[in-house]
Amino acid sequence: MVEVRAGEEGFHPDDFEDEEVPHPRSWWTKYVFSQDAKVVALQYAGTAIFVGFIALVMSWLMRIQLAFPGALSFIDQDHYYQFITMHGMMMVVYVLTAVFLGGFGNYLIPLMIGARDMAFPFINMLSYWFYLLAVLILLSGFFLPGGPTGAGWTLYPPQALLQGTPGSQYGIVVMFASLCVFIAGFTMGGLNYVVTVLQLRAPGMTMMRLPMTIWGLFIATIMALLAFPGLFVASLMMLCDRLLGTSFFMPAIVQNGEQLAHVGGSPILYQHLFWFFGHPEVYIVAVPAFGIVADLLSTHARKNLFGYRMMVWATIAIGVLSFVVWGHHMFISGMNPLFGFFFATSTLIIAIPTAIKVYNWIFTIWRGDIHLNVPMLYSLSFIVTFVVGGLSGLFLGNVAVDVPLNSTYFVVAHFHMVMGIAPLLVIFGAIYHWFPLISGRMMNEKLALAHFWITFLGTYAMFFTMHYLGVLGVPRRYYELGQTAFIPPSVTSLNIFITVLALIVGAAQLVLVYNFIRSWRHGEVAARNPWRATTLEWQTPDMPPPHDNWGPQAPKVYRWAYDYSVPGAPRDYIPQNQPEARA
Amino acid sequence: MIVAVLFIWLLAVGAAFYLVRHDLAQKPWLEPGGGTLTADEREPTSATGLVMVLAVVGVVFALVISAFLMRAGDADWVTPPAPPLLWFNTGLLIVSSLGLEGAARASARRQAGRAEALLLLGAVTACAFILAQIFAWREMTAAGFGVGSNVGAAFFYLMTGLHGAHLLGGLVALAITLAQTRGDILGQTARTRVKFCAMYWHFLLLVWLFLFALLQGWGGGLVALCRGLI
Repeated sequence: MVEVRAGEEGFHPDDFEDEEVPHPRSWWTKYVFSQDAKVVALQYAGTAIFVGFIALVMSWLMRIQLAFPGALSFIDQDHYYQFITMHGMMMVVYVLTAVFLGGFGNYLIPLMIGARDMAFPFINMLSYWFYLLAVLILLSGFFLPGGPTGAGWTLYPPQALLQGTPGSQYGIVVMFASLCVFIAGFTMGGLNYVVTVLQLRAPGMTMMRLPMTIWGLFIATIMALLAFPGLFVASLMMLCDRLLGTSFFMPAIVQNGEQLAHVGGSPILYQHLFWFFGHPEVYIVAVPAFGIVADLLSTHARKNLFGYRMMVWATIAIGVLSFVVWGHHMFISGMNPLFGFFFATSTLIIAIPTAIKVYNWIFTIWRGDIHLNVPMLYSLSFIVTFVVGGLSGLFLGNVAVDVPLNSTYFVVAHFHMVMGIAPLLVIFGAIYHWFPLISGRMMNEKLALAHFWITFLGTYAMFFTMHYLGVLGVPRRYYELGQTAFIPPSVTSLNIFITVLALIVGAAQLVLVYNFIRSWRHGEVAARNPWRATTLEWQTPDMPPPHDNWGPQAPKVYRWAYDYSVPGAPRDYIPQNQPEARA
Repeated sequence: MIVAVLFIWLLAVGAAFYLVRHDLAQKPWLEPGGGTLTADEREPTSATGLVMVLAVVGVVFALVISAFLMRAGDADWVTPPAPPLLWFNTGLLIVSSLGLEGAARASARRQAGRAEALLLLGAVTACAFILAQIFAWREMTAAGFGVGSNVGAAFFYLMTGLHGAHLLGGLVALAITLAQTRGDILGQTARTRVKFCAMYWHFLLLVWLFLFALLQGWGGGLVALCRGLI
């Protein structure tokens, strides 16, 4: 129980010794090999966004092939599968995970908990350089003979290692090597985020006074630390199968009349290991988005977060439950029906804490003083997108419904909506929200609105209609549909519709890039704490925050993060570091 | 995968205790004012880091063991006869673990000479363990159980290799500590880090005992149990 001592300081003066922050001595250590979490954050986010644009272009090429087969002569089957594989793996691991945990995690964790930097700044810096190395190894696949792997983003054996799959010579090796390096690097960063939250909170910042953004990043990082070993072990064993001739996963196969050296391996074992990572990964991306959205809604609706405690508990429950649902990705692998029953049940149970969150977001804005600015618009669009994507997840969580829908576009629509677009909308909202803090300037609102409406309506129209393709039975993973009796002409027109939208939405992202670069130099100078937010990152002595975040005096925390519109208070918000309600 | 899930649940229970102790039932909106949270209530930062490292390494080995148990008993599975050398190696690792524990205790009691000697014993036996594991690999290969020969042998190399790599990482950390403290084993930094190294060593010893049991073929009952459950 926190002792209530309102009206007095309530802290022992020497409770906390101030940390030492390594100070940069040269341009190189300030901007390149920086140990400042804020610089590491920008490096992470910048690299991830660069990778994101490569993945975006690959999705364009796939969409053009689907809508206008053969229009681009250089896209053959092999290239198509390479684009699918690289688009998926890049977006899930190298973009979304890196932007949320590496980018927002690094920037916001120290600032929002009142620390001067991460717990282990050197290891934190190393984490980014490992990430960059992993990206370079991954991209090197494009320049090797045979190109990158085209095994599908799940890289299932045996076909991932068999001749005939594009990139089975070198591409698959660099993919797994890159993943191993990424995981090593992420583990370094992840240890930092967790230890920083546990150890370096400002005096008075109890766990239950942490903003939801931090809870989201914290739980997601713990999940990532415990889930990525699944992918690591799977990658290592696949590399052994490929390079050392072991048979962990590779069964006996006769290829072109020739018996391969492998015998008896279990492809299902790989699927277990992969999805032991793969399912928590969905929540590793979603949980930080949940947290950020809660803070954006509360700030821009000028109302306290509804059900804070329930939100925290729901986040933790999602974190724990997400480790026992992985089997729902394997319903059609021929598992024991009892297992299917277990995984279907656990999948439906995890919808409960998720639904609690959705209700609490809605109750937060209910009768709030809603400011329809760009971060708020993105938050609202996130709720809509996430609910639709989440509901189609309930369909797929049931074995009997999943079996016919599994290999159709219904699955593509579902996961793009729920773990692609929904978190992406939060990333955009968060960029607009925290840009003034990072740069000291405001973004151009007209451009931001244009970017919002094109992105939200465009992606929604793309993926909502894609469910229809799935219900019609249009198979996913196909390079070309050709003349197929059960596919009506509407599918062709819908494919063209989706492709045109994808091209427009993709190009619209350049508006964000332009706005970002232009506002960084010429944007309107931001007022101090322009959104009148309560959280600590806006209470720094300067904006953008100085190297050690807080100048001479580190903050002390007196209240939770959601004192908006407190009755009787002179202003409609009370910062966390303000002792008295009046000021 | 039952082993991995059980391990995750074990961690979840530990985390739950931690969070309950940190007052997860607090109603922060009712309780403004300075907290009583003080620096004394917290564990040292590096100790928290170590616990997280052990959790992550633990998951890696839990998953490898899970994979072993799922794959063991398949039609092509052969349990290769474990080299008798492994018994000796296990002894080496136990001595190494005891040595580091002794060094940590001696340095806490400010017995510099004793601490240095025990630390040396721990480090040398750990190096000897890694070397001896390589000899065990050679024995295996010589007996016709190369990496690609059978999946049982492949697991032998994978498990011992991963375990050895982690021990090597510990040795590097120990070496860096000694280099940074310039052999001043009684200093605050060195004392803490030697203690952490000892904890890491005990953890790797525990992991090795599990792996050792599986490699000796004593896991058959567990495999049968898992299969029965499935």
